[in-house]
Amino acid sequence: MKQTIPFYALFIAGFLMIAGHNAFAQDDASEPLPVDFVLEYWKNSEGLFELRVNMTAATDNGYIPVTQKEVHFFQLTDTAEITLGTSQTNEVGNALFAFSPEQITERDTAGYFSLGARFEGDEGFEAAEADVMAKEAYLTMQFEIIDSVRTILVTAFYSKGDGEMYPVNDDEVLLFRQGIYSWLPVGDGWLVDGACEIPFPDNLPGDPEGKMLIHLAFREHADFGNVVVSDTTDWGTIPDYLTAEDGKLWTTLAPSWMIWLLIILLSGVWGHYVYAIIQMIRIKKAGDNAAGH
Amino acid sequence: MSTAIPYSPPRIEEFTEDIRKTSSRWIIWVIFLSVLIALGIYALIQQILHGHIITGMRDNVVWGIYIVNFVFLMGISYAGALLSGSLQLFRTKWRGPILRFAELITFFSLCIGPIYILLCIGRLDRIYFLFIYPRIQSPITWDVIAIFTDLIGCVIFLWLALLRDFAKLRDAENFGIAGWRKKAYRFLALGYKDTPEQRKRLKVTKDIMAAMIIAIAIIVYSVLAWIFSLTLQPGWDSTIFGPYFVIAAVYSGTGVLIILMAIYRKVYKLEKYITRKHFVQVGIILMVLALFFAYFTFSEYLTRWYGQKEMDAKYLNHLYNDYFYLFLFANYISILTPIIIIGIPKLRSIRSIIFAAVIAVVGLWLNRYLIIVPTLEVPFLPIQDTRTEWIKYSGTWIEAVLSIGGIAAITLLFSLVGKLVPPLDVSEMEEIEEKMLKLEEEAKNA
Repeated sequence: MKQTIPFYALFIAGFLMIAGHNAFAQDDASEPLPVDFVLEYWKNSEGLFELRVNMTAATDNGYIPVTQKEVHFFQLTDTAEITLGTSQTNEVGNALFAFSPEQITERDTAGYFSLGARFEGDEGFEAAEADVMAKEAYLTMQFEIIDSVRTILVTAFYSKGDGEMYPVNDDEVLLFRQGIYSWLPVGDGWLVDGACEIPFPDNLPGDPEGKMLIHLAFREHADFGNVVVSDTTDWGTIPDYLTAEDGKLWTTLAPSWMIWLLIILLSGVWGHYVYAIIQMIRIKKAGDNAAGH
Repeated sequence: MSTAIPYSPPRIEEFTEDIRKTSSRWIIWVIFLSVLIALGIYALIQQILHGHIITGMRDNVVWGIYIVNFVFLMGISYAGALLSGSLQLFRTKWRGPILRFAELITFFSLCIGPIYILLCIGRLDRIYFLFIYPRIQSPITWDVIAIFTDLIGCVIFLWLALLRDFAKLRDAENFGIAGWRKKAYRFLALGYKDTPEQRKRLKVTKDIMAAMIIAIAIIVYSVLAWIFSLTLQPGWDSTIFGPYFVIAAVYSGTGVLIILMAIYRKVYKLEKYITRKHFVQVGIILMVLALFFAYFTFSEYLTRWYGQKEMDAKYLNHLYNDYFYLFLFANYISILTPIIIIGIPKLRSIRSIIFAAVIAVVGLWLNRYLIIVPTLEVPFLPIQDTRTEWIKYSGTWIEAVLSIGGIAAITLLFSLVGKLVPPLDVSEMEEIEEKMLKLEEEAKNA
């Protein structure tokens, strides 16, 4: 029996094999990937220290977050590494560890302390670690109206661990307002002898009551890292909301022309259906009459 | 010149044996299809239990193979409606053997196609929101209304088309079928006795429904196209998507019709009725549609490329680089193959026309895939907190099994309906013969 593979089947199979390389796009890595390990030191508004880690890994398709991995946080002294705690990275590769300043056991004569974080590594990702040095800074802000001008009074001090407070001099402090996704910069001040005044902008929109959250911060400071104090003020302007309307593409009630068009089209179509069904009923009646005769 | 058709039309008695008897081969075939459908149901249960994470859909590509299948099947349905309505209205002489397939594929695709939307929805328990909180401005609401309206129209159209054959089956002598089937035919035949009044009513109603079904098919598939084109997404944001989709639908539906003709011809041994002439005629329709489709495709991509808008350029770059071979097949090979094979008379054989139809159908499925998936891989607005490994879409076994299950369901419907009605529109073919003989008589006497 003559057996031939039809040309057509070969053609289709051949093509599908060529195109099949698109069928499976997701890669599987076989060697541990190197990790991009970023550590930041923060002092938050409650006075707690935070160590923030972000872990990503480079692949052929770009950077991917390293998720669900344990990160160890520690203080580094001259003689030892003192464990502070652990935290797991989230779905975007971030891990956060907050602790009280009292847990810092050792500072040098200038007031610096060293903190570190480490990821031990596993079969998917290489080990990585980083450390950071900082001094503890103390920021305060007060909302005052001076000569009818809304002003934020700022004080900034740092400690060397000797119980004394030293003013921060010749340094910039930044003012932000809380946005939906991030902080919006709205002003800055220059510290002289640990103090400065920042005029508050007049045109910042707040919530329906004019309230907004304000952050005063050192950001990526060479000595103090990231320090922030936050407070709520009602100095925002009250937004002028659009009056409710209807008959637009985005409103609850559709534009009237759309509603009418739909009614006319559907009436036309369903009217024909009703006619057809009536005719089918009459065909049946005619059949019954013919049978009766 | 003789206008007589080259065959005698079939008699209903030719098919009563096939309708009445159930061979072991048929039973095995139905069991096989049922197993495929059951596997699809199993995959669906897994998907409901574990969530869409077990499919290939992620934050970027939220519409994958399910929506491709939905668009493809709806296209075939509308094409069936357009073809059967047009053949009916224009009284095409060779329509007889083809009408039944066109009418059935219209209805069966419309039954199975929308199920793929349900598979794509993450929260099936909220599906009723579409009905209690509809927004008239939403193209999805339009599509829900359109599909429902089309379904009712197709049921009425199909019933009207089958009415006379139901009457013949009701009256067939020595049929030997079970009592419940006789009752079913009696009900479905609506007391049709081919009286002049009934014939006239049926003819007028069929013509009206044929015209309606053409209009509905065009409107409904345009609405489906607008779900995509009324967005700002590069790759979808196009003013010609409505007619482009309609042409693509009729093109793919014609290809499926040729494939169905081939299968029915083989399975039911209809070589006497479905001849090379029918394949050539439908093939010519396929070729003309290929040319229209080529024109729309060229216009679409030329416009997008020439403007060099940033996101359009990004999208086209992604399409041409990462999907080059699929693009080549969908937009070149699947268009040129039917044009060459059917355009050159010497190449026109039944087998080559079937081959061209298969290439066209596969190409059109890939065309839908290329419209949906690569477009979503290049989002118009950046998606926050997405992982890069989730951008590129890969279908999983769940989607593959459910796709096969859908095809098996349509095939099962065809197999089951073969036990209810004849594979050819016997009454229509008899009517054509009557008319042809009448015309011949008039020509002789003239």
